[in-house]
Amino acid sequence: MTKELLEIKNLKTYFFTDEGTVRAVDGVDLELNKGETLGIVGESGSGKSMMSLSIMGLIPNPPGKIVDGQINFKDKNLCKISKSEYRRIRGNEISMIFQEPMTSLNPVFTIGKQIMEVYKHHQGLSKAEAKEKTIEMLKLVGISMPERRIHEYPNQLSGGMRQRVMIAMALACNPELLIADEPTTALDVTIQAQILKLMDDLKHKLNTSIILITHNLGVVAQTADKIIVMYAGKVMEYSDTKSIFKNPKHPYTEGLLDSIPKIDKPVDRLSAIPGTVPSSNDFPTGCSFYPRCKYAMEICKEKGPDLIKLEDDVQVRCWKYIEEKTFVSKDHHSEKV
Amino acid sequence: MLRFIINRIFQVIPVLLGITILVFSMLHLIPGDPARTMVGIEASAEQIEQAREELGLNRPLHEQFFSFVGNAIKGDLGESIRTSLPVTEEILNRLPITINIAIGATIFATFFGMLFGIIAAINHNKFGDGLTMVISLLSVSTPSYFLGLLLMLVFSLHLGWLPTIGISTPIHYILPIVTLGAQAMGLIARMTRSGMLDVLRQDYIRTARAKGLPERVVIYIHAFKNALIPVVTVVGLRFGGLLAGTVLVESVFAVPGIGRFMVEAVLIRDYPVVQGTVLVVAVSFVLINLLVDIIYGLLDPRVRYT
Repeated sequence: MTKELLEIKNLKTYFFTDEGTVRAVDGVDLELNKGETLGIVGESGSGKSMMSLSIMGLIPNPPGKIVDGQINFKDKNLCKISKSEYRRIRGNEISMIFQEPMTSLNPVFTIGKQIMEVYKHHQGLSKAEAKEKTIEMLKLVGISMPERRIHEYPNQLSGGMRQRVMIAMALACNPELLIADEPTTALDVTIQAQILKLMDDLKHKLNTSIILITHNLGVVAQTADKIIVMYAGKVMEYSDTKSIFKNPKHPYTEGLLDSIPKIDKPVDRLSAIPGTVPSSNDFPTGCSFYPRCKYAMEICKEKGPDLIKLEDDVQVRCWKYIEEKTFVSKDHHSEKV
Repeated sequence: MLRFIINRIFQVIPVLLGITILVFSMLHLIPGDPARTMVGIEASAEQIEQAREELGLNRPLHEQFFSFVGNAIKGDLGESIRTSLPVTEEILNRLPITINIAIGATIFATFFGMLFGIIAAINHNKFGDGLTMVISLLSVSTPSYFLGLLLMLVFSLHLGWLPTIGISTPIHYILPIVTLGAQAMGLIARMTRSGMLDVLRQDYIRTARAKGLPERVVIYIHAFKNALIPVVTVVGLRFGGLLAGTVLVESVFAVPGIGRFMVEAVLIRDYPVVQGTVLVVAVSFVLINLLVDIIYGLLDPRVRYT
């Protein structure tokens, strides 16, 4: 049995703004084992980035705050530890790479300095040792002539190169968890594939667990073991990768999959989910997805469904299944997770 | 980097040429006859003609210009009409005082401006922010001649801590420096504040935090170097402005610097002195800007390669 690395229980991250409370993350549970890759999928505004910043302890406060829940990393609850303890974990045991490699590197420092810094602060290495390790790391992420590259500034590198530098920086201290927030969104398709492959290779080499956040189901298809589909701060579906592609349960997941064009079925018009994610301070009462759902029923308007377990590794938050279940077998009580 | 510096130096040459042309034409564009001023109201027509001859005003314009430029390059700016002493010598006697005040004011303005700016940015919308911004607003909006008199009244006359006028000891420099630097300080404080606030929102600051760096490293190294870039421009521009600003401050504190020298020369139409002082101030302005550009290049690698 693989060991559990990260366990999130009922995480709630709210933003208290003048316009009202924004429930960016609203009661999310998840588990991640060592060496596993978890994909978190959702549209912009679904709360997936806020989820990752919550794990990193980097929610801008004010206005944001983790109001409830636990983030258990190894044997610590990250919501309870001190700031300096958190700093020792960030960049060391949990690292993160971001969407925009263009703006995520500091333009006025060489990339060498920016990576060496990590070694200096977490491992207390001398300049020479840190430099040596940095060169090694850059080589590992596939940057040629690293001895020369460390003296270059971010503006001298291409987007793909910068993302490789970000990965080198994140993996410098061999973290146990890597959070990648849309790591390929800003890159060309060919570079996207390279970066995803690199992350997957390094994951096996270094035995790192990965949380891969994306709005693109195609990105997680090849790399993730399990997938969480988020909508409006809530988990809509939780499933292993194979079943989600073969047999999506939630209408939202279905919509996301339908909007990917298939190579064997030419269509005139790409299908899309009508409407947009509701702005988080006026979520509809009831199920947050019902205004856009093609299966919407009366009950969806009134009451939000709970996340229920369908099979061992499949959970879904939809009245469709709760109704079915209670309809098919009245004695079987739908299990709350 | 060396190429960048050489490039910038070459770009300065046409500017310097333009300045010399302007300074030279001043003599001919300003109403009044310098020759007549030199010899006095009661001079005869011959005396005026003779003075004109001495000043070289009879020669063709281009000839006058080239000899002016040639002499200026050799360091000869003519003789003062009032004292008959070489203008260069007169300027060199006064320049150090003015430069001391201007540099002092720049250091004062930069140090306190940045300090207040950082305090304000870190305490955004809190008490520290409000306090430092009120101070900087006051210092930006108080005219220097008024501030000078006010400081003199409080610190010299009432408290008796500092001398009133003159520049004989280092202590004498304090009030002129504060007076001259106050406006720039307010400006730099506001620039640093908005620069820091802007930089602190950038993605790379989030990256720095995500690396687990201590907050002081994030702010004073990662954010500050970026926030410094616009501030350097202001500091440079203001330093040039401070040289000109000494005109008022030196008059208020009766400091024998180049600013007061210029004012006196204008009042009595001592043209060679006016030309000389304006030229020196303008050239310093250009050279300081050159220096600022080079520092800019050192701070921001993106500037170097474009």
